[in-house]
This record gives sequence, C-alpha cells and structure tokens, in this order.
Amino acid sequence: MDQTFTRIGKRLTLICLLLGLLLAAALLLGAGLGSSSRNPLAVLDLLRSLTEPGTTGFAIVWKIRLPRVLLAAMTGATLSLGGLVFQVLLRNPLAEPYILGISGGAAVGAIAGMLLGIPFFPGVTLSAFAGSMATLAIVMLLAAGARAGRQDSLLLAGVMMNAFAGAVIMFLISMSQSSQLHHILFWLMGDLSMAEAARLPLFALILPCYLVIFFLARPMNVLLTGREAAASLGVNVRKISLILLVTATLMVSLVVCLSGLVGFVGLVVPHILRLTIGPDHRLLVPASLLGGASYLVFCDLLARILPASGELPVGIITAMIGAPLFIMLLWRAARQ
Amino acid sequence: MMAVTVDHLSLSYGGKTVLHELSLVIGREEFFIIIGPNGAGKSTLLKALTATEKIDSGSITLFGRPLQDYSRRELARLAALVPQATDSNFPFRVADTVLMGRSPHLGMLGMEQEEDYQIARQAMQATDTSHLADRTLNQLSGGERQRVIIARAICQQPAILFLDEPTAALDLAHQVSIMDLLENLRRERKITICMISHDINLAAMYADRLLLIKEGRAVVSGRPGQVLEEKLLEESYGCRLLVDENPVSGTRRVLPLPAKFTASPGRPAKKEG
Repeated sequence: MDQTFTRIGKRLTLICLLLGLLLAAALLLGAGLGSSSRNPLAVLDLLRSLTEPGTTGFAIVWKIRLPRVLLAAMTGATLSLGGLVFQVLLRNPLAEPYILGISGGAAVGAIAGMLLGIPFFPGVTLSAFAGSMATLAIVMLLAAGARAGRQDSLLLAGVMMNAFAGAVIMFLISMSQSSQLHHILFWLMGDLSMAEAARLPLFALILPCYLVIFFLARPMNVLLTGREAAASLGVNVRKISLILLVTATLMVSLVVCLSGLVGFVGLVVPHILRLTIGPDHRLLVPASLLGGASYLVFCDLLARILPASGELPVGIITAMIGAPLFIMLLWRAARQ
Repeated sequence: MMAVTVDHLSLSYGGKTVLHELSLVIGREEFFIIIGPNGAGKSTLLKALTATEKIDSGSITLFGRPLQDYSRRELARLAALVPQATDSNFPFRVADTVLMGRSPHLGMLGMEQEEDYQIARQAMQATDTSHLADRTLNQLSGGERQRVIIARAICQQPAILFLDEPTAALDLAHQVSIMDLLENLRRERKITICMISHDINLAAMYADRLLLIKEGRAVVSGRPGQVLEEKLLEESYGCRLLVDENPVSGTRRVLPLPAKFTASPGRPAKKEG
C-alpha cells in the first residue's frame, strides 16, 4: 500500500487515542490538584478520597473541582473548535472568536441580560447569542467594505469591535448599582471558579453543535480552496457557510455565558494542531475538541496553583500564552 | 446534443450590464476558447456557466439539461473548474488537494474508497504531478500548481472542463505544456474544454472554435480562421494589429503594433484575405 494519500481512518483513531489520553491526564490532574494540594502525589490521595464520602477531600473533588474541570474542558473544546471554524470561514489562520470581537459581543449581550435581571436560561444566553451575531455581522461588513481579501482589515475590524464592546461593558457596569460587580468583573477576565453543577446541562445544547461541525469537516477542507473552486467541487458555499457561522457563534456565546471572556484558545490550539497533523479538518475537528479541552484544563490548573494565595482568572493565563503567539504569527505573515 | 448551449444570456452587477443577450454553443469534445479585451465579461461568462453567478435572463443548458436543474453535487460531477488563482494560505499537500476532486462523489462523512485513490493516482499521472505528491501547494511554481489544480479537476471525472486563463503568468514552455495537456485530455478522456485565454496566438493553434466577446456581447464565433480577422480584432481590442499566417501551424498569428510603426498613413503590411 503506498503512502501517497493521507489515509484518514487510521490517523483519526491514533490522534483520538493520544489526545484522549492527554485529556484524561489533564482531567485527573485538574481534579486532583489545587491551591490546597500542590503536590502531584495528591492525585493519589484524591483517588483514595473518592471512595470515602463525608471527608473534606471528597467534597472538594466532587462538589468544587469536578464541575470546574468539566467546565474548563468544555469551554476549551468549544473555543478551539470555534476558532477553527472561523479560520475556515474567513480563510484566515489568525481568526478567533475573541480576536474577532464575537466573544466581546456575547459578553455585552450577557451583561445586559444579567443587569436586567432576566433568568440565566434562556434569557441571558439568548441575549449573548444576539450580541455575538450582531458583532459578527458588523465585523464582516466592515471587513468586506475595506479592500477585499485584505487579512488585516478583518483583524482590525475585530479588534475595534472588541474595544467597543469593552467600552460598552464598562459603561453598563458603571451605570448599574449591582451588587454582583466583583463577580462580573472577574467573569469578564475569563473565570471558571463560578462553575455551578446546575449550569453544566447547558452543554446539552453545545454537543449537537460539535456534531454538526464534525459532519461538515470535509466541506470545510473544500471551502479553503476559495469560494468558486468550492462551488465547482460540489459544495453549496452559501448554505454551508451559514450553518457553520450560526453553529459556531451559538456555541461560543453559550460558553461566554458560562465562563466569561477566555481569549486566544481558538488561535493557539488549532495552530499547534495544524502544525502537527496537517490541514485536514476531518482530523482537526475532533483533535481541536480534545486538544482544546486538555489545553484549558491545564491553563486553569496553572491559574489555580501559580498564585501564592487565591487564584487568577484563567483568561489571564490564556492571554499570556496566546497574545505573544498571535503577534509572532502576524509578524511572520507580514514578512512573507 | 451539445455540451453547452447559451441563449440570449444577460447578466448585470448593481445596475451595470456585464453580459448582454449573449448566445453560444459548445459541441461535445470541442476545444472552445473565449477571447476578448479586459473587462469584456469573459470571467463573468465563466461564472455564469459554472452557476456561481446568477443570471438576469436567457438560458444556459448543459448536456441537454437546464443549468439551474442541477444540484451543486450533480454539477460538480459533470463540470470542473480551474480558477485563475488558487489560494494556498492553508498548506494542503498536493496528493490531498488532488483527492479533493473526489468530493462530489463521496458520501456525507467523505471517506474515500480504494477506487478514489486509484482515480486520483491516475489524474496525477496524466498531469505529470505524481512526483509532487508530498509537497504542499505553496511550495510549487506557477506551472506546477496549475497542473495540480487540473489534476484535481480531472479527479471529478467531468464531461466538461472550464478554465480561467490557465496560462496567465506562465513562461513560454509552461504555456505550451499546459495547452498540450488539455489537448491530450480532450483526445484521451473525451473531455470538452472551455477556456478563457488572453493569448490569441495560443488560442489560434489549439482551439476548434473561438468566441470573441466585447462589452458583454458576442462579436463573432467560429473557427479561428474566421474569428481572427484583422479588422474585427482591431475594433474589438482598440489597437493596430498585424495579422498574418504562422508558417509552422498554418493558423493565424496576431501581433499588436506600437504607435511608432503605425504613424504613416498607409496601413501596415496585410496578409491573406
């Protein structure tokens, strides 16, 4: 058998197996370690305490860390898959929900909803979705109005929308007398500490989004060859793009409602994966889910154990890793 | 049955008419080349023929069936496109790019079978790109990349191949090799070829029939000898030309003449009637 073509079947199994193991390790460490137990050996204590209901260890793990680790995993998976989808739709490897201002738009919608005091579901989630769709529409209009095909006009439009969203958020917060101010500010920086087991079922809405995108993995490959070429290869470009756009925006806005503004995950994870496994989305979609989940669980672990006391919002860790990578990629693209 | 029949096709962008009452026919296994000055509407015509641009009025029929009756996938199994520019922002390997030509033939999850690999392998042999299989698109020269995109198109097993200036930006040797390749594909695989060309001389040597368009209207179509008339071409392109016979191929040869040679009142040398 010659190796001319990338055979998907075997590689898919191997990649899922390896990244699955990585995710399992991340989850175990994430649930086992924390500010009260920095020693890696604590994982062993954890395994012991799982069988002993009533102990403090048991409560910490099951009530606090597990919901938090699961939230981190699903947030990471969603954001990196969202990044992957926007990179395809905009044919730009630097596109990402946070950089494009989509997360910011969702945050504006979510905060407006919170301050109005409407219920979290479906009220706040819907206003977040509306906010992110509106931002996306504005960014794409601005970018299309600028000289077509210019990568930087899109990024610039996104950055400006992000700044605008930030201003609106600060305005909303300063106008309100809400007692939740501290909570909201932390959430803005990307915060997983508010993980509530009660809100995790929201992921029942996100899982179908993963599935839709997985089934569109091959058309995503074809879309990257350009609109006309994709059409001539049998892809209904407008329909597929619209489905991808709405699905990705929906799942990202849901995640913003739960975890706040966690930036650059959708840039870092797909970038590393493309370098290691190539540009085929039949591999990249499942790999982004597993890789993104592992990545954010590790980032959250850092956010919990790095500070001498207390903890950092995870968005600070992801920005400290992601922003330099973004600048490096932009610099390299400019030199070409 | 004709491969393509276009009847009184009109198309406009934002109020501006780009194609006006344009009609043409392309026979099966014909090598058909569309020529005309910049802005004549050549690329728009190709977009209309591949159903990527909506038409205002008129009709397009592909192999006896109205174009709008085809689904995207059905159309992609019948007609392939080699666009002018190929984006290579994302580093797909050549082999995988060629294999993408199988897309319209695959199921929902797009898993290829052994047969698909076989077809892709043959497409790479036919276009002399087998040795490039492991390279990525952005590592190729213009001529190599064009061959790869043609291989992808062949992989679709189309009955007709549309090409938008496939020899633009290629040097002389590569221009001829791409045109020879298309000539071979038509002869061996019975694929109808419909291309846009800015190079009248190449068109004259390879085309069975030419269509000359200007300002969205068909000026004339027919065998190269009929279309490449000095007066017609000078009017269409808006410059003085030398049209004579190519001593090797016996086809017409067209050369633009700079102003300094046409300043005299007499017209430049004129050949054949």
